[in-house]
Amino acid sequence: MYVSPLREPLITGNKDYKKITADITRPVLTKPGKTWFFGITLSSIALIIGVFAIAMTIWKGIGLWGLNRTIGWGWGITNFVWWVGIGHAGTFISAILLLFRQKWRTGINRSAEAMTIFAVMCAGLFPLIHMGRLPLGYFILPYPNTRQLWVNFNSPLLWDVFAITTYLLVSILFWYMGLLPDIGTIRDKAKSKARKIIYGLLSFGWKGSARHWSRHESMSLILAGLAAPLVLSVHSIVSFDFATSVIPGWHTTIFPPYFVSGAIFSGFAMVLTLMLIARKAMNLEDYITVNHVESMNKIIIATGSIVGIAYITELFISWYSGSIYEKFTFFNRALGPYWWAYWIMMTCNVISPQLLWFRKLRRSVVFTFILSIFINIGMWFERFVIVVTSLHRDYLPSSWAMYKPTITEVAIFIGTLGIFFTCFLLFIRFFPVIAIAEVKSVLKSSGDNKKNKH
Amino acid sequence: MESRFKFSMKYKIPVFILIAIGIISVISALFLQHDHGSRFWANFHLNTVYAILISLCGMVFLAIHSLGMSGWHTGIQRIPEAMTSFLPIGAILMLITILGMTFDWNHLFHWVHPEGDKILEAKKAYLNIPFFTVRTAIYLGGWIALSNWWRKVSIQQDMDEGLKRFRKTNIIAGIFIVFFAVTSSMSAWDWLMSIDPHWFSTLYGWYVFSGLLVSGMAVIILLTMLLKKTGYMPHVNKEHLHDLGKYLFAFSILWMYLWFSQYMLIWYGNLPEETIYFKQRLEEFNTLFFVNLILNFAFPFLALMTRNSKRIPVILVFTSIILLIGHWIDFYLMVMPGTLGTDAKIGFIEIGMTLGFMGLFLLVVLNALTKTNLIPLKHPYLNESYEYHTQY
Amino acid sequence: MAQAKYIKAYYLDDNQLLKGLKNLKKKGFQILDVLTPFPVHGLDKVLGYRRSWIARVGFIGGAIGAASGFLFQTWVFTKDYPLNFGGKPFFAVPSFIPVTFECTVLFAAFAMVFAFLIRSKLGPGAKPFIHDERTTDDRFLVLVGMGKDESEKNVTEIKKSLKESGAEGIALKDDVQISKNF
Repeated sequence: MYVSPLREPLITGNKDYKKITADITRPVLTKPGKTWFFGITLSSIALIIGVFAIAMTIWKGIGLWGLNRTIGWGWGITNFVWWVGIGHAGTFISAILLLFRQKWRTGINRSAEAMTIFAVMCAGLFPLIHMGRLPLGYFILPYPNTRQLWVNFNSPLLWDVFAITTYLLVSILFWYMGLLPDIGTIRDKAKSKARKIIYGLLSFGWKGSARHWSRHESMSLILAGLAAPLVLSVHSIVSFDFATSVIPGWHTTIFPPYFVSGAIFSGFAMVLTLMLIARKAMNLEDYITVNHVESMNKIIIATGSIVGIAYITELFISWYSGSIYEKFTFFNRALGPYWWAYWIMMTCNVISPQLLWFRKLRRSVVFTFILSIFINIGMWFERFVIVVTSLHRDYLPSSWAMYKPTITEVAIFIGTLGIFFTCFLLFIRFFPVIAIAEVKSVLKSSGDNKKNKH
Repeated sequence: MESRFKFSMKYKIPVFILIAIGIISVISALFLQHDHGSRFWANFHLNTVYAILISLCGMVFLAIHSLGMSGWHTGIQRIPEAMTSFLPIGAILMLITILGMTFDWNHLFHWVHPEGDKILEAKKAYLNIPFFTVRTAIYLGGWIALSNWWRKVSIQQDMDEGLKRFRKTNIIAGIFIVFFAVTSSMSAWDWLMSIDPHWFSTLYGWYVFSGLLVSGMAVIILLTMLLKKTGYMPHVNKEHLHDLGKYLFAFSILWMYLWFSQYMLIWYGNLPEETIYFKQRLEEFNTLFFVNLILNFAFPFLALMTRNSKRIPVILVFTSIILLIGHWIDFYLMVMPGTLGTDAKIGFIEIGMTLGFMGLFLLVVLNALTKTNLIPLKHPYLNESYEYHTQY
Repeated sequence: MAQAKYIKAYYLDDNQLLKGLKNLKKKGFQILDVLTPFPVHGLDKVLGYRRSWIARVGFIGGAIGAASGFLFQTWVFTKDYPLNFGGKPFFAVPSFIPVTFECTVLFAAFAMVFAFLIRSKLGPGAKPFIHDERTTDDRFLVLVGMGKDESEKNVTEIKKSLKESGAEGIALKDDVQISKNF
């Protein structure tokens, strides 16, 4: 396909197919450096802390958490929504950007998809451990049982079970099917017998046959077509956990698309956090260029602005509705006892991404990295504000209460960060972080090698 | 290549016939219905808003593609540019409605007279004629100013190779998209949601926006096909059509998703002040309620699902027409229950006035098409639109 | 299956590959397989492959998912154990939509993936014959099939055609069983 020479190249450093293979397979086939060992040590410590805290929770009960009768959902559900949101960027990059033919996705899609799987795993942990009696957790599945009771298909909490399960499974399918050709590449480049056998098994026998590529493309396109509405539906269903209730702040029709935009917003921020470090540490700056960073920033400012508009809409309609309960909820969010959470949220989510209107900042790796951390903090606070402030003061003033997390809840959150980063570090150790075959396919049209241009 | 549209008699005659039908319906509505013009005003407002939003979609299309650095669309970009030329006419029509509100010629908005209604009195600070007028002026003023500016720079680009104008259009697109994001929701609240002033929904603005996207895209497709059929745009190939078809498909799904979100959340919460909206529509407008879903979702979903269907002009044209009718019904369901209520019907006046507005829209837009070269000759990405083959 | 001969050659550039294949096909030779490191655009057309029908499998999978999800919920809530949840009707269509949608996607995705793997005979136990390890790196491999007693003239012609279009490593081979899993 013709690509205008005015467009910035997506692959720099005068690469050819051989170099691409070498650059991306090198981290998998050689021993990792000190940075990797340092990173995985830290993340493993966090993971162990989390495992301990979760074990205590299951053993002793939810009383170890700071929840009370008024505020039945606190850090647990905030973290759940935060992690699910982060997961959405991977599918967005793989599926929706594929449908929009955005070639720059090839530099980041593999890692983003892996990030999705790990984020969804972390998210899925919370509905499981917040049940209290986890050994009876299978009750949520619709199977014929002697209790003579089916699960409540009317409940968004059950829709979540289906949505998160489907999302995890389809993401794994999409990620792995995309990986098959690249695992074939690793298998073929590996020298040691053990590696050849293991990657041979994992590659499912891929050899690059034209017929197989043809079916693979067809399958990828349709999986993308399925995954795209899946992205929208999963976070919409998560938003239904709140939007279907009747308390002010939790009963508002804008939640589904607003949550989806917020998810993509926070997800891209996490992709940037991970990729900006990875590209430096693994010498992949020729594949994840400043152009990639700028494109991701554009999506961040778009989705961040949508989130900002949603905030303003909610504020306005809360007044327009004429309901004193609605008006109070938003007044309380901004000026009540949790005002600090609200203003952190506003600063990080609405004000800071607007700086990306400046081209220089969009293309600055340092600024982008700092911003990505702020956005993830801001999005965590957004979920905290929605969950806790709506619950802590609703219709009945005699029920108003406050919520503070306990050390167990904080430890579990740190644990999920540990799980996430450990899994991600293992991923970059054993699998190619960039989609080798896809990058090769765009080399001719988008590489900086003038010989390759039409 | 140089190519200019000629607004010949071949086009002028059907357009004038449509306008004539419109005028006859208006006269019939004003003088032969004994309802103080309510039927006239309801249809006038419905069609004015529908036409303004379709026209506005042209600018939205341009802005989004400009910010997304898209190249394939440049070969057809003069069509959405021409569509925006209807906005000033839309502003005049809106002005007529506002005059009608001020002098009590119409009773479209019950909040004009809030006395005795506690809920309306509480909203008085926002829902009053002066503020409403100022806001409407800002929306339409801003949209007209920005789309005119865009068109001016786009035409200048035809004379002058180089990236200066291109960069300017990116800036205009950026300003427009922010302005539009705010004003699209607010205009939806003002012009449509306040017809049922006791009701509210935070999603409403975005829901109306999705209708705007589908209807606007349908019009872009129909105008593109019209020009292509009459030989004006030889460079438009199946790839361009495929992409336009994908948009139509995707936006229809987006519309359904937003419709469902709004409906299901209100159904689920079952709060009377919100459910009254749908209760009225389900009881008094039952058939149209479901026809709305079939025409705007079920039909385009099945018709446009396969890859091939989006490359066959007949299917795209037919689906676009169905969607334009379908979204007219969607807007009908937004406007009529709160204005005419059980007196609402679909008869000669509804169809006639709609055809009249269509004629007026075509008159203005086809005329605008004659004013510039049909292809933006020196657009930096134009070659991507000419040499356009994709693999999926 | 018979031990047959084939000619293998590799290209370093995908445009040359396509040109070379077009020539071979025009001369009427049989292309057994082409192995590439990434999907080459236009290759399907040159080789005369029709579009895969696995898309239809995906659609059918999705339809089954949608029907099962919706009908199961309906049966559960109207026939088997109807319960009053917050005053909602037993046949609560809006409530059923989210689960129905997720089932549609789940079934469609699995159907697609299994159709792909089964049809392509790929899986954890598959033992493919690797002609050249570099086909996953930077080589585009072409395998031209010949009959057991293919004439010398044809062999020379194929080799010449390949060489002219830029192929390298041209070799006549008969070292592997021609089976469906070639």
